[in-house]
Amino acid sequence: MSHKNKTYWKGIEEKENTVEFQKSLENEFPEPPSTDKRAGDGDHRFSRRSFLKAAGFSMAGTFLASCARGPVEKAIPLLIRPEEVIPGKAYWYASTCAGCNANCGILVKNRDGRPIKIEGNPDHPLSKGGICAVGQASVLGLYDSKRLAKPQINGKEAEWTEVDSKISKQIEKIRENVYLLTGTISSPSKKALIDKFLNRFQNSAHVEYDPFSYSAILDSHESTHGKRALPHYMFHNAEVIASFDADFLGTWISPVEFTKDYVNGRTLKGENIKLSRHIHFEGRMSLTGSNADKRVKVSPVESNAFIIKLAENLAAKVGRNMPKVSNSSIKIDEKTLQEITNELWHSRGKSLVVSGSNDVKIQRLINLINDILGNYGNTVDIQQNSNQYKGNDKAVKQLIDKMKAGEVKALFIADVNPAYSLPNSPEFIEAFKNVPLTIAFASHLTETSELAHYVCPTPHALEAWNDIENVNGIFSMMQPTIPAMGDTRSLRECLYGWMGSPKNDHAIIQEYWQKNIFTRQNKEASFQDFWDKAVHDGVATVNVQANAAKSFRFKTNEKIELTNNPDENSYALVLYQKIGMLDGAHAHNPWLHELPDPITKVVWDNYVCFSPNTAKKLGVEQGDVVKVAAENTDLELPVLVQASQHDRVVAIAVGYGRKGTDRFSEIGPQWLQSKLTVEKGETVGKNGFILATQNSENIIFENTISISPANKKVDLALTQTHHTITVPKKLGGERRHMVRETTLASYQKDPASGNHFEHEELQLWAKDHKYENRHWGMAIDLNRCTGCSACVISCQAENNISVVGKDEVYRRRDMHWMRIDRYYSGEEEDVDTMHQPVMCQHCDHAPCEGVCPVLATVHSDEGINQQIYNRCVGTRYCANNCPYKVRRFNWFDYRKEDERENMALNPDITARTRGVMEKCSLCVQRIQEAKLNAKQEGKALADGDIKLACEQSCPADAIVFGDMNDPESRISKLIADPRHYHMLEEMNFRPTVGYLTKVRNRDEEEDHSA
Amino acid sequence: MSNEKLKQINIVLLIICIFAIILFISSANINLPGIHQGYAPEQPIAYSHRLHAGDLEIPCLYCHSAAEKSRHAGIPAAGTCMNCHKVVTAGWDQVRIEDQKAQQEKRDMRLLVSDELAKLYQSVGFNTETLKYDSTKIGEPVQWIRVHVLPDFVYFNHANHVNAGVTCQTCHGRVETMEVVSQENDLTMGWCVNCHRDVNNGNIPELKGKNASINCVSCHY
Repeated sequence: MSHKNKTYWKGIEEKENTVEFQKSLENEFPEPPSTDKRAGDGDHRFSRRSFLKAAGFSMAGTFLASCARGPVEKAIPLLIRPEEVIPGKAYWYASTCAGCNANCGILVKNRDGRPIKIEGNPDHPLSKGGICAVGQASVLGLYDSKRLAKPQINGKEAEWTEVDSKISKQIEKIRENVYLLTGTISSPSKKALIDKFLNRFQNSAHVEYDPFSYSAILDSHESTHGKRALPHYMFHNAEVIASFDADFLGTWISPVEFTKDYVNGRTLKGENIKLSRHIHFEGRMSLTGSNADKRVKVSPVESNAFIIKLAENLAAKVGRNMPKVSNSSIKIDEKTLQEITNELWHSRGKSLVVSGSNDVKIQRLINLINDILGNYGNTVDIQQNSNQYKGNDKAVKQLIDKMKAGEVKALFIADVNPAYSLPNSPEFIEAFKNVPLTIAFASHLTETSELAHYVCPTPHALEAWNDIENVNGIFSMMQPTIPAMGDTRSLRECLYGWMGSPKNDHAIIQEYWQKNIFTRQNKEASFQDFWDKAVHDGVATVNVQANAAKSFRFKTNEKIELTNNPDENSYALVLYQKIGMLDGAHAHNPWLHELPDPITKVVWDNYVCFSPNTAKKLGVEQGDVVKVAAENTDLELPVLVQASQHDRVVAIAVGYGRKGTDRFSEIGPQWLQSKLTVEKGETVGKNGFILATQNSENIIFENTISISPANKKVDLALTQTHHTITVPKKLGGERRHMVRETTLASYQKDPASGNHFEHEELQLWAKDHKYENRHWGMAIDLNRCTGCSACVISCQAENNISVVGKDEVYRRRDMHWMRIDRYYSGEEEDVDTMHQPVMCQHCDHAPCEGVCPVLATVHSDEGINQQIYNRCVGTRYCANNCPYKVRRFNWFDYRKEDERENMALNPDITARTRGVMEKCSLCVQRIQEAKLNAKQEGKALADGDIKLACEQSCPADAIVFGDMNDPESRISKLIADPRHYHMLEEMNFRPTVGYLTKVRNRDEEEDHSA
Repeated sequence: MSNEKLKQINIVLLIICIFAIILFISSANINLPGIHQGYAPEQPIAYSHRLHAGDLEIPCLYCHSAAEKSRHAGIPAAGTCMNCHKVVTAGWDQVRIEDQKAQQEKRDMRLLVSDELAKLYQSVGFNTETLKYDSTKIGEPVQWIRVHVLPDFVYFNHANHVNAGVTCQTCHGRVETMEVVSQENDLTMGWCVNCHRDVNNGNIPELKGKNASINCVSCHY
């Protein structure tokens, strides 16, 4: 079978087996950095004198440290202890995530008054217990000391009383032309208040703006369904999914919800195998594309041509009219088109076509396709629509025109940063200066808020009350989990106060709910009960108000113009959001900067992605800086060579280049040869938004650009081939079957297909080391894992994992206990991708244990490979001997860039010091806690009582942890699955972490074999 | 002298040195780093466990109620002290003397407030003249000094031990006899593990049948 012969590789250097790559395999730790010839490296000679200095310092330091007696610790109790507050016990609050506008349900773990961990709320009807990396990391954002704590007037700190009186006085005089520019407001109480506030003025409006806009989808539904709204997509009902560059598993609209639904439509349980077919069209390589059963490489223009042809084909089948298409000289693969038409037509009513384009004409065609296929009401719901994005690009443009003309008397701007994220931001900044009164509501001093006359600091989502209607009828509740750290006020409180009667958020929302939402349900008789339940559950579902969309209509008289591919010397630019950084709102979060991108594996940077052919053609290598020039603007960025990218497409991530990110310049350890993570006065990455374009209706995240080399080179810190489990040539160089996959057809014939690697299994300690009580194990279903990296951040938050900075990552010293290995197979031009989360495998025959001279790593009687920090002396033998390369060494005491961030530490976990080894502990603190709770309640520990950090947050439910000695546990059932295997099982390490093969829904001949 | 001989002399010298160091440490009664056996710091309020837990027989868990629920035994909130000290404002000896005086002088007893309790009243904002709380005068919580401090790399959970039936005195010594609390045991790992082993071997009658884990990760993570 072809999949058995697949060769997997992580980076092009591995595929081509370069000398450098072979060399990097030889040692667990890279060569001493002084011999490391790096771009732009100065002369780093370590002179005898500086050596003596360093040695003297460290000796004196050690001596002094060993003499010191432990510091006097104080124990300060509460003055009056509320009955339910017990020091050292965690409390959980149900709330709503504000990491992005998807607003997933969360549970916030609170220890001794501090939120320390965010987990998914399993009772939330949309996110169903999943939470992404951004949501996980937002707890760190709470403790950001750069958050505004006081209001500002013209750049100077002021008191609220002064701000209130000055603003009230100024508003008094204004009668008209007051505008409010905000992000999408999906809070009904906030929306009502804004309307009430603006009603006091003539000719005023509330404009919603999303930096990465979905405006075209809303506009197209206004035209086809008479309702400007974002439909609610239901991927679990779809048997065939065709996505045109909509990264719905990564960043598009509501990725956690979509990932849950998507994988639930791809289960292999029991007799009813339900595996949706996913076809993805894109020019760059996205997370969603990497998971597709069939990935079609297209440039944006070709993608549009595909959509048009698909619409034409389907319209012909039902005899509907199509608009005229002006230019159809674009060549597309007719065979693929035919196949996709047939597959979609065959699954009418059970298919789903989505597009990430922000072009209304294209989105209208998508609506037409979905309507012809009968998907409305089945997989696309426009009746009970989503409120997650409501931005209107046209309105934003009109507002800027008015500002330019000097018509705007006052502008309130909340939670958006147009001076950074608009393609025409300089124009916006000029227009902004025309407005006589500007009031910004922001958590940080952003590019926009620093221009405003007044800056009103807003609280973090974990400090505030809010209500959010994600999808019509589903109300998510946000509640404070800590008293506000700064002197902050929400937009709602400010507006209420300036209308004359100050009130707090809690009271305003409660009042609104009593009048408008309580009346829409009949489950609870009293409002207090209804409210308490909503706060307790974090969500309330009520009857949907009649807001019906009209029946489908489609204007066929409009001509669609299709441009050609750009000429030979220019390229089509695709701007995208990166997982973690999204639209740049989280640019102050170091966890997200150090999260390797699931595809490119780069940290702390953005870059231009080229296909290998394009890079060759342009004569550039990875790390070379190129100048990307569009019509009026240009940008210098390093090159990243990305397999399977379209040759005429280059891709750049937005969300980087935020002002103030040079605060991270010294985030890593500062030592003789260290380099700054970002140069002082510079920014982390560059702002890609300036390369976006604007047509008459919308912001288009595409452009035509030309490329010229800038004759510079930078080091991209990428973890791609770090910790690679490839056998070096000199040790035999044989291939290991780390990831395994098969096709649906083969799987149906033989469920163990792709997993036929027979080995003799030996048990060395069968008699001596019996796991009599429990034997913990974990199974990871590669068929469910999408590679979204939520688990990586979840693990980091739970286990106090340090951020080390760009330079240390470059030196292969990243500290994440979990990594997601991304493997490619096939040729560079057209690869298949596999994502494999790897953490300590907790081998029963652990190679690390035998080599530790001080017994700092030994086995527990429940099968956990224990790492004991206080015993470790840092020989690093264990890491050297670990075949899975999961051990991480503390080369330094990793200083916190921000001292306040220490408040996010988990007090149950040791904060490791310099010189000790660390690695995944299977969240042993959670195991111990669950055991204790069961003991106290007098119950036996049940399967599923223990949820590890990675498992809990996984939006795809790919990770299962449990007791392998319990035959009824979920893990035991997964181990019995014919798809189950262990990494390197032929080596007989007997790991307790296992994997299940991936099954792709494709024919044998479609499967790439290399 | 041959090289061989020199080497031998060196080894002997080294051994003598090591012995000398060991002798010095044991004779000087110095603790190894991190061991604070006998540590008895002066507390901000001269609270007497002998009086409260010994003479008055107040159960340990009355004040340290978190011990059966949480990893921390917890220092009682000032509010807990006030349960009694709203009424008891001075020591019994002082009150008796005042009582005798009052009888001799044929007058009513004066309200007595001991110096130590005055610190407590100040922290909770309790007016000793009106015997009422004054919410405008709430002060800072009392900053007690921790006596039993384990290193940060050790996880110790009170609830596990209390619920298993380990008495407080097993680890903390006879606190009810201490005027000033001091650390009775050395609280080293060997001391912990020996007790865990004793439990598993059935050497501790009142904990028979209990299982005390000696896995590293029971305490270190």
